[in-house]
Amino acid sequence: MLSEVVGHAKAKEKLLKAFSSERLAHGYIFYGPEGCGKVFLAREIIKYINCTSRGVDSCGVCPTCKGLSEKNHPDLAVIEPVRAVIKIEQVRAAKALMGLKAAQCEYRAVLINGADRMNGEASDALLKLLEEPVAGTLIILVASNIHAIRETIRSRAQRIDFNGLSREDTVRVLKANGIEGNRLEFLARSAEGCPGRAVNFTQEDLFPLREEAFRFAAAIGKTGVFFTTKELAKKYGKFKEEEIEEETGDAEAPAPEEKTTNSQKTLYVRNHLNDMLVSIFRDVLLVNSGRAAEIVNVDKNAVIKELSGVYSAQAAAGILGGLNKIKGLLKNSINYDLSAGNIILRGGK
Amino acid sequence: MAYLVLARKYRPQTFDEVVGQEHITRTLKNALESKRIAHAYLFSGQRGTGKTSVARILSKALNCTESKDGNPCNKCDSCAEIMEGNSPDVIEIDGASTTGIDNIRELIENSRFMPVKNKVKVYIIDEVHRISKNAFDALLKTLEEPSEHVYFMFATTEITAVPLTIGSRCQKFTFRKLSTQEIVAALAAILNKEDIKVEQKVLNLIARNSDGALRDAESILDQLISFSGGNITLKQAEELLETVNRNTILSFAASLIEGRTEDALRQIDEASKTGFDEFLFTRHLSSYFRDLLVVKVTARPDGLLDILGEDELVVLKDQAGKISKTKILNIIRVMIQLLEDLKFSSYKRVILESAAVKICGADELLDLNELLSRVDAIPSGPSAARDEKKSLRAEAAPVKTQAPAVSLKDEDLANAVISISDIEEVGNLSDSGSDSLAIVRKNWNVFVEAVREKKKMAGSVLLSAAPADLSGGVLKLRVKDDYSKASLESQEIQAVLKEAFKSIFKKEVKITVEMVKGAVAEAGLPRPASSTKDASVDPVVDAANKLFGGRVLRKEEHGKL
Repeated sequence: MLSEVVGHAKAKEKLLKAFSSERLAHGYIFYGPEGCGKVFLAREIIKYINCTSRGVDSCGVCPTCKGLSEKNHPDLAVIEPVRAVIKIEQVRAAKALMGLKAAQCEYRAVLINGADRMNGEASDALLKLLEEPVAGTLIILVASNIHAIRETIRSRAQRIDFNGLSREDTVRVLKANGIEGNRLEFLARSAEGCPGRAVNFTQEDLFPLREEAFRFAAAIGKTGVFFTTKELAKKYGKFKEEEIEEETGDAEAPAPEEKTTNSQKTLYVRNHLNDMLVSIFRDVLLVNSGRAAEIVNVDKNAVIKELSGVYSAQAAAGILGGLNKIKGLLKNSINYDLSAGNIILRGGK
Repeated sequence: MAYLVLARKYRPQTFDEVVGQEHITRTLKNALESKRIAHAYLFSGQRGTGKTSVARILSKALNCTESKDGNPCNKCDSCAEIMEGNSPDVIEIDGASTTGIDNIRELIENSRFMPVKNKVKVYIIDEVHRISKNAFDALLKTLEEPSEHVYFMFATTEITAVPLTIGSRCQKFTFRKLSTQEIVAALAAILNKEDIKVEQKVLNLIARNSDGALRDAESILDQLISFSGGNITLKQAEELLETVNRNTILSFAASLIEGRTEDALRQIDEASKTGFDEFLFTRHLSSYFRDLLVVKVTARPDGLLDILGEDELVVLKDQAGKISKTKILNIIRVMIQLLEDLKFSSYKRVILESAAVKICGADELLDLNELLSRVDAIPSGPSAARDEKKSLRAEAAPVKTQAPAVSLKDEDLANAVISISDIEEVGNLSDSGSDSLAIVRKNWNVFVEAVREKKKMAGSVLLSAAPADLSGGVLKLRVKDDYSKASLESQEIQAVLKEAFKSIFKKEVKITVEMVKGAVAEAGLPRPASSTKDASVDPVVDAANKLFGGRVLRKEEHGKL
């Protein structure tokens, strides 16, 4: 139900106004940071416009509402990246579905989650559908990087911008997800208005890895000790498909049932470690710029304070620039341990 | 009937309705009138400029029974059918999803049959650049000599992806971007038909944000209408377009200029609470600094600026007084890098914050000229210097993180370089004999330095040369590689060498160069300490040294710290 959507009042208002004034466009791009609730709102809107006993909100009990709440519904095509890419076959399948008459609903909908991950072919194959779909079609593209969506697509859809939630709203969502205690404040702050990230952080249980990041950040300035992500990967490496960009090429390769490889584990660990280091040094930057109240790692206040004595705001800014750069290079199998260590060591001097 | 977005509702139906592509519509109309229609057309251009629309209009005009001035009537059966997309003889194909050779084979096969009910058969292939290479090739023969009743029209945004062999068989038309005025006029016409009144300013704003694509403009307008319920204000438009609040930009820029790090970070925080796009924010910011630069360097900036009103010009002029040109340039350089980084970064906000800290902190070190004038201003008393030192040292540390902190330019140095004062007394050079050679050798560094003053490159090459002989008015130089020989023998450098030689040794000589493999006979040459003046004597270095209380690094230490 729409009332379950926390925050995003503006986006909701825009869509509802368009719907009530019968000016609902056939294509929208929901653009905003990952994990802030775009897909959730998209699904609720699709339910709302199809609900058979609709009031100010969808009823939540009619067959359509119930049907759409479940994962499989003949009138809703959901496309998501497979191995980080959306391919033309997926778009074709959705188009075929859109050519049919709606089974139950007033609107047939396509929800493309990760529209910024469409490859060129898939994106172009969508153009004609997005320009002139049959009446009663709603296409929602969800993306966190607008620049990765082609302009030809952008020009055919209306853009709805999403912002991160307020801290209070984030806390509300996190509490609803059963997150409590001293982790709550840290997670709420680190989520930057995107509770999805915090929930993910908890589900993946990244806290032990975070400890390692802090240990490393604190130690390197004193002892020059580097870490070995390969060792860490053995302990903490979980595999999440999203994170791994596969070499595209032979699309027809048999679906791999194989175990997570070591390099995938390492990549996973490095991705997260880098995020954590960035969060640590951003805190240092904040503390040394007179904004200590805003730091993210509130539960690690002591360590952050200690680090702030070692690294000036300028040094932290330099380190952050370096960490940003290697984040983009992670997939190119760089020597992460050395690079990260080097960046931080240099910054400290 | 379900709602149609404006871009579809007002899709042009005659050539005269197409906005801003007169060069194409006029040609096509004339072709129709004079019955000189090509059998294949290739329309290219950026999105939202009318390619598909023109293809459809042309296919209507070809079949229309009552066309006037080349325009289709839009009333006859044929026109009506085509507009509804039901015509059996106008076949529109999505080139992006039917890409294979089999689709094209089928098309070729079908194209042989006569049209079902219309005069001609038209194949419109949209997004044609996605057709596979084999499919394109299969099309070649048909495209070159199709049956008389068949016409092909291709539309694409990526003309470069269409094979040349296809292109050469078609008449090509390139659609251009629409101007702001054209878009405004088109929007006004739509609003007129929709019976909605909107301020001119709003239309300008929409047009400026749509990058010359009419569909983008219509889409924005659509959103505005549905959001505002028909009563559109500039404020709503700005909100929708997320034109970053101008005041936020102004105050953030002021924080950067005045080096108030804390304020800058707070402003980012506040802006992100109300929602903003880091990329857009930075783009607006960089265009602000660009305006600032224009105000700084031009006497009459009118017309060069991208501002909304006079009051902003006042602010700009005020700010321009507070900041040096070099610093603006440096800020712009950071901004450009930032824009690049922001596009694909996972830490957008963090790198925006780091950039702000860098700009604020690197403040004092950015402008060499300012620095030098500061050096002059320092009183000689040790206590005053120490105070200055203290306050500056805090900012001295960041130089390293700021990549291009100080770049010494030639003209900056020119004023500072010491003139050659330590020339030893040059004896009279006799015409021959080893004595004169010895004198030349002794003063070789002075000579090299004099040459370097005139021409840097020649001085560098000369470092690897050694005087081997001086007799009969001929100075013989010895070098060890082809490159040095060739450069020293070039006319330009020869002239420099001769002149320098004359000015120092008061004697005109010819200079010849010989190449010797292996080491140049050093012949007791006093090698200059890296030829340039000793770093500690350089007044710039010296001044910096005094100012910051540093020391000159030994060569082995370079890059270690």
